Amino acid sequence: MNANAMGLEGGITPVLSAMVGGGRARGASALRPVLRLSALLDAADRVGATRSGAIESSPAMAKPTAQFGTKTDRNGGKLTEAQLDARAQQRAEDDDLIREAQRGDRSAFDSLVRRYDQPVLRLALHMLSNEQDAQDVHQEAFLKAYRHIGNFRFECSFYTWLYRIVTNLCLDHLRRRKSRREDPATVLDARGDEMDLLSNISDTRAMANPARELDRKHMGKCIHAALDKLTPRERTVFELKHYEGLKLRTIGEMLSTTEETAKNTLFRATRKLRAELAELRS
Amino acid sequence: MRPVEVEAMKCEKAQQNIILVTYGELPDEQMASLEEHLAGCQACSRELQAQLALHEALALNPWPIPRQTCLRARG
Repeated sequence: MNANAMGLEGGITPVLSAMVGGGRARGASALRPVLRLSALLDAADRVGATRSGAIESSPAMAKPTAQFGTKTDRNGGKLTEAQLDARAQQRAEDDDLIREAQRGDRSAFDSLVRRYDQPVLRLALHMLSNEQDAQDVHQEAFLKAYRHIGNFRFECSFYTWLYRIVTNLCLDHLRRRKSRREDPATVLDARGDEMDLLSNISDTRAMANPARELDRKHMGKCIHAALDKLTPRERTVFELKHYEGLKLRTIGEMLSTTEETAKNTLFRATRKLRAELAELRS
Repeated sequence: MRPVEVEAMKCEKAQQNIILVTYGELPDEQMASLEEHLAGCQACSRELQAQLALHEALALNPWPIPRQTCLRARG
């Protein structure tokens, strides 16, 4: 890709200006919530919910700076007043639901599930590239949240707390996968059949330009392979930043580390990805 | 510190800032100095192009969205 193609002919400054507000989160946009966790939550009630490894909200998990699982329209990296208002309202509603859930109201927890089940599943799918694993993490995350909702102290938002559960579960999966040396290109769908993730991406341009589609698929495979070369932590930070559009500060809080560490991990991940892609494409 | 080391440090910082700016995480007050550095440094300008190319490649290859079957609880 040359400088002109990248719009660099007018100098660097316009490119930088355009980039402020860039880096948008990419991902699913219109998913219909159909998941039913009721049976699992019923079972958790019956079992009495083991309390080992209690998950508590901590003051370190401060106020989030990006909306959970949604694209964030940016204004130089800052939120508009309307976005801040919407976030405050969502936070207030979440807090009410959590209080009710803590008093034992199952329907309140079900409402929280409905609010967040798509973003949770999407994040898990992005991170794991495997429907089966993503479903497992999705269910496990909500079960954990349900079991430990009593420990929630309102020191951070529900989504930050939930995201932390999800990313930790995904990290566990990625670590186990690394140790098993699974082939991430071969994934299983919900029925247990093998599927090619990339072939499932619909692209109306495919029919119009088969050569370009072939290039795109090849690049997609290269990206997949390059992402798999990252360490679980690098991949997590990259996914949360690039695809989920979360702030580095929030990512640091979710991973129980500092913003500076999250930033350095992003630098490493980005450089590794670029180097790996350059090698794979050459 | 020798001048060449000072320059290398400036480039390292600029290249980190290039990554931050593509994610909207570079503070406004650091934007001008990055622009100034890029105007006089070909290596870092190439870094910017490489970073933008990465975003372009990732944008053309989005992750698949979960299918409805994936959203249904098993069992």
